Amino acid sequence: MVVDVANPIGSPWQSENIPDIDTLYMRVHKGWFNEDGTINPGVFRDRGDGMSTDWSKYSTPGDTCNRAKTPEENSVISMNVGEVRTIPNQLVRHTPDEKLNNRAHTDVVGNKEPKSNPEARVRFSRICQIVIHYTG
Amino acid sequence: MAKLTKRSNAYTYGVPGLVHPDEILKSAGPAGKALADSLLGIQGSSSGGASAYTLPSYRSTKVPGEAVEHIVDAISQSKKILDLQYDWDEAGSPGYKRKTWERAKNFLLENAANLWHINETRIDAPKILPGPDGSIDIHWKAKRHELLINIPEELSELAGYYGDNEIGQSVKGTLDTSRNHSWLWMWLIQ
Repeated sequence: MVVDVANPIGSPWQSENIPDIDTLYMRVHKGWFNEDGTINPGVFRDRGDGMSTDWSKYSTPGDTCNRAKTPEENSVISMNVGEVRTIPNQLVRHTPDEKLNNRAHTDVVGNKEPKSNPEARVRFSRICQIVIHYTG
Repeated sequence: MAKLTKRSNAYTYGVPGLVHPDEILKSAGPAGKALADSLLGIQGSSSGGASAYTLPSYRSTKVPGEAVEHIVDAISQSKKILDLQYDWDEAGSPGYKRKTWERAKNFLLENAANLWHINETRIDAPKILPGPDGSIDIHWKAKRHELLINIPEELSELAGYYGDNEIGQSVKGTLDTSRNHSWLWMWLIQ
């Protein structure tokens, strides 16, 4: 049971350790899909503090999809946490987002800079599976 | 990897060496000519402009159209990248600059021609994709190997690359796209 009193910034949700066996969900806009249905590795990039995902403990794929501006234009992919951690220099950090009311929010932190680390993007693209396909 | 036979009707541009990307396009059949025509008046000359990226000095060589026509097709298809506007992915991704795309185009054409010149071999066409932060990715993925080259939005920056294959060999680093990198393409087809 998680106790929230330890959170130093006053969020009702404490950051938790995420087990390797768990899953991360991530939205992928239809623009990041290739014509053959494969995912463009360009989608694996940092925005802000890291690559934004949702932890399966507090989110379903549907929840993740519905947080998009236009859910029907987004797919959701899943990645096993343990596999994410095998990608060099990538850390999985639970970062619940009170402002967006998203307790599942999790950043994958580490160098994904397009020029200096294309390896990370190649590896992310190999470990992901599509769990919801866009419809719009 | 298919190895092509020299054709008697190969386009000839004089002594062996590098060939200008625009000339390669023109040698690549109707698709190449159409792409070259569509670029006229838009890019000026590929080596012109005030960009920090400078194309090499070109000499001429034979480049059979079939050595590069599949690359030209991929380049033509990728032109739609230039239509993407800011926030095209609902996540704040920027649009793409023509000069970034032209750098990718020239890099591919020059190296396809060089590879043919060195080894009479043609490489499979890659995917040319919108990348992160206004960069463009050149991506080969097959059963036995994968190679991702990132062309940065900023023309003065080196391109980054990573590749590996089924026997565990990998390559990664940065490269100057104005130079000949046939070695990397040879690695891909080994």
